[in-house]
Formats: sequence, structure tokens, C-alpha cells
Amino acid sequence: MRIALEVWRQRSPEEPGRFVRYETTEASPDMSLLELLDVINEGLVSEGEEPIAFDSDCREGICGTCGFMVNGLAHGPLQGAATCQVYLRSFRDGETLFLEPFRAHAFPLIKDLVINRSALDRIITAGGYVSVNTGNAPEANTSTIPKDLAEQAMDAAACIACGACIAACPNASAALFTGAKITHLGKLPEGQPERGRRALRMVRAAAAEGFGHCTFAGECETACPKSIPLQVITQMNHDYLAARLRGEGRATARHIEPGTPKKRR
Amino acid sequence: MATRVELGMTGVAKKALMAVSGIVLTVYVVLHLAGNLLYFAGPAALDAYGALLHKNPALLWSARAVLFASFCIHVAAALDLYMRKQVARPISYGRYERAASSLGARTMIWTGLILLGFVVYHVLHLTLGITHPAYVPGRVYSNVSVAFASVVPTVIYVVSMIALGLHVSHGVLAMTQSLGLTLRRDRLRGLRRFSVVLALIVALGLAAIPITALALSFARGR
Amino acid sequence: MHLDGKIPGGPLPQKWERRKFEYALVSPANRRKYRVLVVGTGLAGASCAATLGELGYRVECVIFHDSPRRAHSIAAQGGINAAKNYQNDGDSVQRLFQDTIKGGDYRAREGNVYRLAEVSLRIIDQCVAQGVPFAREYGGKLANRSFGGAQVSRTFYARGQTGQQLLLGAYQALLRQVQAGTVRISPRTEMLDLVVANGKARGIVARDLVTGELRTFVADAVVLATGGYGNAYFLSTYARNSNATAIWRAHRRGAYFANPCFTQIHPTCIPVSGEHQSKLTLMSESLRNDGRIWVPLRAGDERSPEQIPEAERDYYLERRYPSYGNLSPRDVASRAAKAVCDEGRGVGPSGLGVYLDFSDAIRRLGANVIAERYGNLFDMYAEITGEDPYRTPMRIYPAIHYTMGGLWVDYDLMSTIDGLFVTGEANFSDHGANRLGASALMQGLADGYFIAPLAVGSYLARAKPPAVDATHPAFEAARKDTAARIERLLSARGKRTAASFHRELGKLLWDECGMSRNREGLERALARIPEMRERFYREILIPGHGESLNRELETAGRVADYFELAELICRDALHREESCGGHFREEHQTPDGEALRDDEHFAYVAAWEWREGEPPALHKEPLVFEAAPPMQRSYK
Repeated sequence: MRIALEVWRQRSPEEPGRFVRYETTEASPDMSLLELLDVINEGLVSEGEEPIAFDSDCREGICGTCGFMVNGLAHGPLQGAATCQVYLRSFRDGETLFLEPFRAHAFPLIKDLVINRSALDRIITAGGYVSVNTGNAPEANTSTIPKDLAEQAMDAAACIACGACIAACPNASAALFTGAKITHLGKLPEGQPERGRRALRMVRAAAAEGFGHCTFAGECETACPKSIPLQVITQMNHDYLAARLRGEGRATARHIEPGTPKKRR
Repeated sequence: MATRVELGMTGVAKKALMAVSGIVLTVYVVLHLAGNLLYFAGPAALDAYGALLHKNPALLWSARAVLFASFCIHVAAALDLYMRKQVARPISYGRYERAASSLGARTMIWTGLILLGFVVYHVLHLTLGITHPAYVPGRVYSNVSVAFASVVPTVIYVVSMIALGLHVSHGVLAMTQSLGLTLRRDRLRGLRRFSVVLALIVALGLAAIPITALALSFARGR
Repeated sequence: MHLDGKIPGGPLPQKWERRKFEYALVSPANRRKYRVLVVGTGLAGASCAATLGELGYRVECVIFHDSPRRAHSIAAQGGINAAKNYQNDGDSVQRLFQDTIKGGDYRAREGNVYRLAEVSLRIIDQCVAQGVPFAREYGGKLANRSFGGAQVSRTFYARGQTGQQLLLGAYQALLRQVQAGTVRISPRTEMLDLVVANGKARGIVARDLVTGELRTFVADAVVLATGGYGNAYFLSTYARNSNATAIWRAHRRGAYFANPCFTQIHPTCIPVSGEHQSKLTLMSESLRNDGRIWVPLRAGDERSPEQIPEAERDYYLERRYPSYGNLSPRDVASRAAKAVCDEGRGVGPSGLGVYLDFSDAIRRLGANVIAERYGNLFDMYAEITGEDPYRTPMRIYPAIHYTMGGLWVDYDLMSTIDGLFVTGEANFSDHGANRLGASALMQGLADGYFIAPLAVGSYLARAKPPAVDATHPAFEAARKDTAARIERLLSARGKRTAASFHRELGKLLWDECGMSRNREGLERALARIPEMRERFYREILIPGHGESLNRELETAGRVADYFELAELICRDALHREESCGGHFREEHQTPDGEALRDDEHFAYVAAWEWREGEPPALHKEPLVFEAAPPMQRSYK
């Protein structure tokens, strides 16, 4: 099988980047796209050239490390698959593939196809958790969670933080990512006490990172390797607006200045 | 890495404002369509409807004020968000394919700008009569007939109504989610259909008037 | 040196209670004066760092991934064991303990394993409270499934993504501490050496993978949670970047390496398809709940599986092990697969594969139920192989999956270096010679949430490590040493990639020290590895320089350590003249091909001490069995 690649090469954020063409006849339909890159890299290294830098780890679509644009689509042409799960049988013999890094202001480029996605960690840091210290948990079966609710929470919790939703979004919005965590925890009884606060803080953190806004184009749902449903965005908007309208997070302990005289009617 | 969370308007809040103003504008468009369809009932009915609207100036002006405010909020928020989009992705893709977005979703900003121009033109044309060749306040039916006797305004209106249809087809869908209203997947599917049907009704209904007027004038001329 | 496991006295059920009471405490106000370094943020690392942070210590987390959530714990599919007995099928702490000891073929410490079984109860509580979306029954209570090596249903799961969900729970707890200011994270930073000053572990040298800068981290205690070393075999179910450098460097600095030859081969992986294959993909053991494993009765049967009638199929696990059948433990199932393939009855293009057939289950339960249980695994299989497992049986073959061996630790998870704690797969502690399914997640979280934080605190309270900083000569020396190693690799300028050497080494290990081992093969490997290593240092080629992101350099450093480690694995396998668990010596088997243990001579932990320029020294920690007396491990 013959495959040509047009790969974005950029040595560092400061230097300009460009597409470089690589052609190979060593491809076979049972090879994954990343294995093809491995093969090309091995060839490059043997010639003393710097290999194409790309991130990948588990190579089974669960760690979220890999990810770049393939022919203009985040993670390539398959629904519900990460880049590492794309096999060459999805392409035609002789096809040219364009590989380009995920692009967003909040995802600064490091090298070639490698980007920095720590902004996603910072969104979770802002509130994507249940505040419960180790040892502070009641017996597991004391909480009863309807199966449907558990399934919906799991649908949202399946997010692997690969960044494809942001890459595919015309506005580089992190709404699907943020909404997924808000929905996962917001569906469960354990997540209720912090539900409003969590939505407020995570949405604000996403904005502060420089992600765009959601226009409900639906590109993220299609790009998502875990097919997380768009409803998580609606849920996020719902929880955020409800918390804003309730004025959540403003309650503080009542303080009366010492020496204040009693109020008389 | 600890995150400081700042106050201020987030995209979600802005989109909620857009949605609320969008709802006002959509409701207005539907009412406007209902009233305008009286055109097909003949001059007497349409003129009587016009007179009815002007009967209570206080009501009329407060409605206009709400409408104008919504319009301004809608436009301002849209332009602000559009600017932010460029900031959120400063380097665009060499190759980028949109796989899922509808035509309406892809063209929101452009149909929006067309509608912005159209609204200005429309007010000057049929509300204030400034760009109208023979405007007579109160004579709604004849104003319409005269206005669309020529081709250019008719084309402008029809094109704008196509833009309106596209804008509504995505807008109705988007505003319910911006407000967090469609939490169930099956409802979302229904809503998608509803917004397309509504867009068709609005666009076809409103475009029918200038087209009919033009056709009538051609028939009369011949 | 005498190896003291420091197991508390008293009857088994009271040992951990007693030890917790013996632990010295650091008062809450003093905890922030201590800095603890945690390397790795998988289940064991993230949970440990988060808990230490909650307690109030200053925690520094070093990871080579771009985010703490990428660690390979995330790929665990099937589930996590806990002796909750929610199914009322007779489970108990005692039974989980017995199953684990027996499953480990009597090569684990009783005290550790009992504690693990005890703590398992609290892990599930903790995870549910964090919002881990475990599978539920319609009544809203937690669901369970069965796993290999147990006759009770005690495995909790979240679809086929249990590891992911547990890791995200720990990751979120960790980031909560980042928000609270107790934990600091350094991503894309790889530990390259351990610093031991005045006999105590005091920090590490690490390379910033983006800038290439060598950084030193100073701490009062160091926790290694860097996972297993199975990637030495090149083709494995490990993530591409999982590596042994952290534990190997600690070993070279004085931490003993225990039972390195105890490697687990998982029976249900997708078979190798081509020479460019970069890794093997595991199909969860839970598939064996409903799938039936078989091969054709006749060798060389070329027919497609549908054409082979029932009578000409050999459901060999059900035949050989009627009481556990398809749910036999991993080592047993893997060896049985190898045996039928060696007889020429393997299936698929390479002949290295057996069928995992769901047609019975689909007939019995309907495709919908099967899809609900295993949908994502079936999809994954279809994606990789291009075949539809709903129609045609899956093909599976064993692959390296886990390492029971690791750095030696005592009951308090401290290695032979004072102040160096090792948790999760990186240590050797709880699984003996073979790990049962769904026990890795349990051990990682038990170590991280409930054991290491207390043990580290007690160490700090007693040792009161004096202040040191990065100007201490030990740091200077370690930094220089690391820079020299990097320079040596960069300056070779040969002609071969690190990956090609890795593949070569992996193949040798798999052939000579894989599913079954013998003296001759191991001696052959021991002769070839040093020669291969020498060639590696001569012929390695790394383009670019060390001052930027350089993946070839990263790989080369890891492969360099695999050579030394591989030698130790083979040496350990050679010395252990018995078959037990994952270690099967062909010389030691029963007439019907089962593993033959030698409790009289080998009921000990083999802990190896690194010695520069000479062969490693063997230290033995005898294993004493009181509550679970060793017996022939039978799953018949």
C-alpha cells in the first residue's frame, strides 16, 4: 500500500512551521496510522534526520495522549476512535494524508505535532472533583444511584481529555470537555453539594484559559473519540446559569461588628 | 498550577444573553409574520391591522424599545463573541473540515450581518418610508404594493428572508441549549426538526409577500 | 544484609491495626515542614500524593506524561476486587486473602495480602464517594462480575473502563490538592536518577522533556509509583512510554530488586499481526465470563471456525480445569494456550492464537446483553482486526501484561534505602508469583490511599531527616552521572535506532524467558544480552541534541536500562529451580504439564542487590505460611 503524508514540521514555537511531504510504500492495511509514523521515523533516524515528534502512549484509545488532525478532522475519519485507533485500511491506496497539530490559543505548540494541553488540567483543578478526603467515605452501598443516572454519568465520565473537541470546534471552545466533567459529577448524588460552585468555577477557568465559546455547531460530538453527547454542554449551561441566578458562592458567615448597638424598631 | 478563577462575563453568560434576546426577536418575527399575512386578506384588513398597532402609542413604543434593546444586545454579543473566536484560535488550520455543523450553523455570522443590513433598510423602507418612492403613512397595503413593484427591493427582501430562515434554523436550536433547556437527547432531536420547520415557515411566509406583490404588479402592468 | 519484612506480630486480622497504632505521628501543624516527592501519578502515585496533600505535607509530583491522567492505570479494563460480599455468595476478607495467596502460588507475604484484602473494603467506599460511576443494578446498588481465580463475584467495574474511572477519581483528588496548594506537579519531567544522601533517599534528578534541562528535586522522602517493567519485552500490553528507568536507577542506588522473573502473561490479547506492530492490545479477562476458549481438535485444521463442528472442537480449559473452566487464573490459561499452539493446533495466520467464542452466550442471552456487557471491547477488537466478533470468534493469544516482581519493600512499603517508598506495580509486595485479575487496581489504591501515606508520615516522624539542598555533593554527583549517561548516548552516532535494539532484546526475552523457561535458553540469553548491550552503545544513533524534545534520546535511555534489567530477569529465572505462577521452568512440571513448586527450597523472596562490576548478590527473605498453608494449586 502506498501512502503519502503531508506532516506539519515545526522545530519549536519560535520557528516557523511548514508541511513536509513523506512518501512510503511500506504501509499495509493492518498497520495503524501511528505505526506508519513509527516506520517513517525509523527511516528518518537512520538517515540522521530528526523524527516527526508526536505524542502517543497507550495506543488503545484510552489515555488521551495522542491526537492530531488527519485531513482536517480531529483524530481522523472514524467516529468514536482516537488517532491511535485509526488503521490504514480506512484510507485508499495512494492517498495523501495531511497531519497537523490541534490548534488553539490554549494549546501552545511544543514541536511538530506535539502540543501542550495542561489548560485542561487547570480546568479540572478549578473544581472538577468531589471534595472528599481519603477515609471520609461512608459504606459504598449507602448511596443508591438509579441505573439510568449511573449510565449517563458514565457516558460523560468517559472523556479522555485528548482535546479533539477543542481542535474540531470552529471557536476552539472547551465546552464539551468542561461539560462532560460537570455532567459526570452533577448526575451523581455525591456531586450535588458542589454542583453549582463546580459549574461556576470550571466555566470561568475555561474562559480564563482562552478557550472560545460554544455555538452548538456540533463538531465536538463528532470529533470526540468517546462520542460524548452534546447534552453535556446544555447541562453545563444549565448548571452554570442556575448557579448564577441563585447567586451561589456568595454566602458567608454573618458577621456583626463588636460594639454594634441593638437594632430597635 | 493552582487556578485562580476570575469574575466577569463568561462565554456562557454572553451566550445566555444572546439566547434571551434571540427569543424576543424570534417571537417578534413570528408575530410580525402573522400580522403581515393579512396582506393576503386584502387592503382593508392589512390597513386596519396597521391602525390597530398605532392605537396605543405607549404600548407600541415600549414594544419597540424592548425590540431595539434585544436587537442591540444580540448584535453586540454576536460581534464580541466573533472577535473572541479569532483570539481562541489565532493560527488557523491548513486543512479543516466541518463534519457535523448544519448550513445554518456554519453561516450564522454572515446571515446575521445580512439581517443587520436588512433591518436598517427595512425600517428606512417600510416603517419610516425614507427610501420608499411613494410612502403614505397608514396606507400599509398600497405602500407594500408600490414598494415591491420593482425588482431590486424584492430581491433584497427575498435574499434576506433566506438568510433569516438559515439564521432561525440554527438560532432556535442554539438558544435552547445556551439556556440549558434541552437536557434530554430525544427532545433535542425533536427540537432540531422544530427549528427547521419554523425557519421554513418564517422564511417562506415573509418572502411570499414581496414575491406576490411583484407578481401582481407585473400582472397589472401587462 | 538480613532482610526484615517488619511484619507486625499477632494474629493476621490484627496485624494492620496494630501497625497503625505503632506508627509515629507528625502533628498537623508540622506536616507542612516536610516535603515528599512522588514519582508517577497512576493509581498508586496519584492516590498517595493526593492523600499526603490532604494530610498537609508539601508534595511534589514528577511525571513524564503531559498530564497526571495519562498514566497506564487508565487502560485497565475489567475491574477492581473487594471483599464486600454484596452478592451474598460467601465472600469475606479471609476468602479474598486465601484466593490471592493461592493465586500467587504461595510466593507472597501473608501479612501484606491480608492487609490488602482488609483495605479493599474501604477502597470501594472511597471511590464511590469521589463519584466513580461504578456499574449499578436496577435497584441502584453496586453491581459485580466474576473474574479469574475466584469462585465468588467480587469485582466492581465501570463498563470496560474501570481503570480509567478509578484513575480519574485519584487524579481529581490530586488536582483538588493542587488547587489547595499542597501539591505541585511537574509534567513532562522524567526521573533519571535517585539521590541518596547520608544513606537516605533525598531526591531525584530528572530531565525536563521539553527543554532538556536536568532538574534536581529535593525531598524528605521519595515515593516511587512508576509502574512495572514489562516493556522490557518490547511487545506487551503496556503503554509505549511505560518504562523501568525509575526503579532501575533506584536499584542501582541500593534498592533491592525482588523476584524480577515473576512476569505475568495475560491470556486474552489480540495476536500479533505484523512486524511493525508497536504494542499488543489486551481484551479484558471479564470476556472469559461469557466467552468459551477453544481450538480445533486436529492439528493443522485450516477450516474457518464456523465450519468446525462442535465435536471437532477442543474447549481445552473446560476439559482440563472443569471447576474453573474458562475462568482459570491467568498463568494457567496462558500456558494452556501455548501448549495447544505448540501442538500445531493454534489458529489464525501465524498459528499463534486460540478462539474466544461468544456464539453460545449470544444464543443464550441475546446479542443485546452481550453488547451491553462487552460492547466497547468488541468494538475495539473489530477496529484493530477488521473482524466482527459478534459473527466470528475472536482470536486471542497471551502477551506480557504485568510484573509481579519489583523493588523489594517491607510491610511499610519502604525499600532497602531509607526513605524510599515504592507503591503499586513498582513494588513486589502482594501478588506473589501470579496476580489475579482485578487485583492490580486494588493494590495500587490500597498502597496509595491507605498504606503509604501513614507509613511515610511515621518515617518522617522517626527519622526527622536533616535539611539538605541541591548543593549537597550527592546531588552534584547524581546530576553529573546523569549528564554523562546522556552524553554517552548522544555521542555514539552509530547507525541504528533505539527501537530496533529494543525489538531485538524483547524478542530474545520473550523466546527465552517468556511463558516457559529452561536452563539452556536462559543461559543463552545471559550470554547474548551483554553482547547486545555493547553493540547498543556502539551503534546507537540519536539525531538532534539533548536540549529539546528528543524522543529518540528518551527511548535510548530506557532501552539502555532494559538491557541491565533483562539480565537480572534471566538470572532470577535461572536461579529459581521450580515452577510457580508466571514463572514456568520446563524442567519442573508434573507429568500432566502443571507447574511443580518446590516449597522446601524456594519459599522465599529473591531480592537482588546491585553490585558495580560484578554479578548481583542474592538475598533471601523466607516466606512463612501460617494461615494459608501451601498446597498444590489446583483449578481442576
